[in-house]
Amino acid sequence: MKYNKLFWIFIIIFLSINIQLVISEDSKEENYCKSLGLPDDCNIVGSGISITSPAKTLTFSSGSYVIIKDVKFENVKSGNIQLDSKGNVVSGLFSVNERGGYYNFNSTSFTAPPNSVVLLDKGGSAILTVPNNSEIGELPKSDNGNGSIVRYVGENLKFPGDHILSGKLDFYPSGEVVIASSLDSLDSDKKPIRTSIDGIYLDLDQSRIAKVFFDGKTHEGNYVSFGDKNLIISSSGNMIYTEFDKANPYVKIDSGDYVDIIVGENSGVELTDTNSELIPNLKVLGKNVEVIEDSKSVRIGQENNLYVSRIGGHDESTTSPLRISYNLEGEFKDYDFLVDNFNRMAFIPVDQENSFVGLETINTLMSARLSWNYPSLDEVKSLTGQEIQFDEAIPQGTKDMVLGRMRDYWDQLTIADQKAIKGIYIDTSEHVTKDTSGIGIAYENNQYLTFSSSEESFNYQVLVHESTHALHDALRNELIESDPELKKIQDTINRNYQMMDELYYSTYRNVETLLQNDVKKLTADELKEIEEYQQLIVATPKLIEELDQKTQEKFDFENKWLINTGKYDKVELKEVEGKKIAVYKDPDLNPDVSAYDYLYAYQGRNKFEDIAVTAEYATVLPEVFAEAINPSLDKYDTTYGPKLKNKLDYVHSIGAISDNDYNRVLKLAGFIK
Amino acid sequence: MKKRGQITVFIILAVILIGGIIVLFSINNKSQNISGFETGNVETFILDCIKETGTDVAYRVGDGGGYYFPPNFSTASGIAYYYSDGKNYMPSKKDIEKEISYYTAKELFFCTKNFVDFSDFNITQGEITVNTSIKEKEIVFDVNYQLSISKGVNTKLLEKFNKVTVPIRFGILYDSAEQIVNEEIQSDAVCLTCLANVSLKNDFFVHMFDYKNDSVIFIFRDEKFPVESNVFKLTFANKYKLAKNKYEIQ
Repeated sequence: MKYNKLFWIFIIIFLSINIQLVISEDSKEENYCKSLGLPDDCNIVGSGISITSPAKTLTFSSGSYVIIKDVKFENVKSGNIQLDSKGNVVSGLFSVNERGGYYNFNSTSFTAPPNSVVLLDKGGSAILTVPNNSEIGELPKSDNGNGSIVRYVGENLKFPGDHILSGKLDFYPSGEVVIASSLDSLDSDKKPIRTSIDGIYLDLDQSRIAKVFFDGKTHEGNYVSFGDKNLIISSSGNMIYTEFDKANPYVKIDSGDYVDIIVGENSGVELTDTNSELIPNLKVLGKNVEVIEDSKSVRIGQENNLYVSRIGGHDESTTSPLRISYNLEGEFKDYDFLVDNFNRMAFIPVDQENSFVGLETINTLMSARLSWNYPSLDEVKSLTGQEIQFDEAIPQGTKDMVLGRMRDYWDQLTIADQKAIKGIYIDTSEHVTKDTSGIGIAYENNQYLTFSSSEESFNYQVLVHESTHALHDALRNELIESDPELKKIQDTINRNYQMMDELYYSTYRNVETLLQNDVKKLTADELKEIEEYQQLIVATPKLIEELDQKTQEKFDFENKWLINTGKYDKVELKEVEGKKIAVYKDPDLNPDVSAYDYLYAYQGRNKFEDIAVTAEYATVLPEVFAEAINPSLDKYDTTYGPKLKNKLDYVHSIGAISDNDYNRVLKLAGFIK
Repeated sequence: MKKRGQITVFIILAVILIGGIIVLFSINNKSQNISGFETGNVETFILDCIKETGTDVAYRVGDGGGYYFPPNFSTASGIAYYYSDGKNYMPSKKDIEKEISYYTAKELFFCTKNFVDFSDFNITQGEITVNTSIKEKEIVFDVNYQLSISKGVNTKLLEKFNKVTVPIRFGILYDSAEQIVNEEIQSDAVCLTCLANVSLKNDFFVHMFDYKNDSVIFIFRDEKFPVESNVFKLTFANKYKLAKNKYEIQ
């Protein structure tokens, strides 16, 4: 009972204090009519507002508010509002506080997210500059359909329906959502403000507008209609430019991909089959449509012909899968232009040719009368001048992968490398790794390269490495051919090999079998041939060594190389899990990282690998190379760093690395700016 | 009655004329039989060699865009440019015919191998000249190959091997390429519908691929009439002006 009394006393005191506060606040609310030079019944009240009378300017300060004809402007950090002679708001510029606000201007209500800046312009529009990543919970509403245009400007703004806006978007009092040309307003850096909705950049000619819908249906005029599974872009007169970003839900955009659709007068496109396993289908209606896929522009030109132009500045190795379907009067009523993820294209008159293109995998067939960048032996031969041969056990899909990569890599090799390669053979990884534990082989003295076909093995790094072997051998062979002394030794070696082959296949192999069975059955001739064979086996390696030594002495490049690097005595082969791998003799050193003047242990095996790895790293891993030769780094080795830098110069001097790659390493290492 | 007599005379004259043409033609194509012994195998061998060598050379020339060896204006791998900078660089059909003629004449020797397979005969050879005609659906070779074939005291002279035909649709592929190049002179772009039209109409396939950032290599493949399962190809490259951005294309 005692507690009940106390409780009620407490409640009464609490309510009294609150009533006092409310009365006190109400008592602070002022009628600004008189201060503004307006009639007393102008219906403008507020608190904390500074008035500038002749200009009829209301200036906000923290915690202030004003109610103008029953419309409240609150949660304003700072700024002002201008009134006309009748007390109506005609303009204003104010910043909203952290609570955000909901305002009305010219009979249009709109949400201002926290910390927005609101500009009410004299033309009757409200422009809200909104902090990045803000959420706009409610779209602007007009009381009578004749109010203000409300524009939101910001990055990554989230609108109802989870639509994401970057740039600017206008909401008309009629309820229409409109995008304006980027050129109609500039940002603080005086750059045009580009607009992106759901990962698609949209733009128009100067001072032009297009409506935006989120229903995926067709409409009148210039418009873009975003659907759950389709997108329509249509123009009744203006150019509408679109560019697809990675975030868009309609077209697959990988890193480096670029898709742009330009829709002109009386034309349109509809993108369907999005969000499915199929390639998105872009149906083109009308003549004035241009689709840009990375480095290619596809457009309809004179006499309804479809043209493809090359454009610069974009990646060429991958593309965004797209089926572009045309319906035009002409020889073919319907035709498709197909682009897959590997820059392969096909042009297919519908109902006359069959086609199938996979969205993700290259291991698919694409049959078309007109195919573009579909890797084939013919194409790669025309491009590289090389007759690439495959082991018959390699499946077609793997061949496609290798050919596609070869097509993309070939141009990146230096001209010297390209010229040095005499043949390329692609073998199964089982065959390649069986003898060498490696993934590529350059057969010495003949410039023929063999690569493993496995997806992870055949890559640009391996190609550069083996191509450098080919170039090195080409230079040696050139010297040997031009020097009588060397040529004589080489000819003897060749002759020895030929004789050994003949003896082995004619007699010795059989004799081997005979020896195992009954040694007494050997004839005098057979014994003589065995002796001859064994002599050759001993003599030939010595000749090879002699040739190598003499070639080295006369080969300026190798001479310099060996003086620079010294003996190859810091690395050995070690058997790990049945495979021989190169490791540093010093067990404390990790074979995968740089030590001495090697970028990794394998480089220290011999001069051939030393040269090939130098070119390989300078081309494909320039950062690693640069780190090892950068004198400004603490870990720079003053003994071996300069040697490694010399190696870089030497491989550049023979054309094993391009000027660009060479300069890139020097730049990264701080040698040049 | 008089009229019937005149008709009979005309018929007889016509028969003599046609017979004469056939005899002349057969002499031209075969031999001047001086001493009457059979050289049929040698003749068949030479005709086969002309076909084989002519086909090989035509295939190589097709692969090189009309050239046996790459011309100066070609890609690094030796593909001849047909179009660049608004101009047509195609070799004329006459030039291609000369190219095929020259190298067929040069290479025929490697096929006949000095007639080592005909040890029964003593064969001496004169100069070889070849005249090639590229038709729509075939290539026709007229070959002058002076041969003196002796066996014992008998000698036979062979010289002309005319109208040796190989079924290569070089003419169709060349005309199609010319049509495309002429179109591209106007547009400076790859006309896909034009390529589709011409390839469907003439039943060949078109493979294209990007070369550097401004060129496209075309391979016109005649898969309809492969010679011994080898597809005839006309390969060439076109070089386009590179638009810098989308607005430049408009």
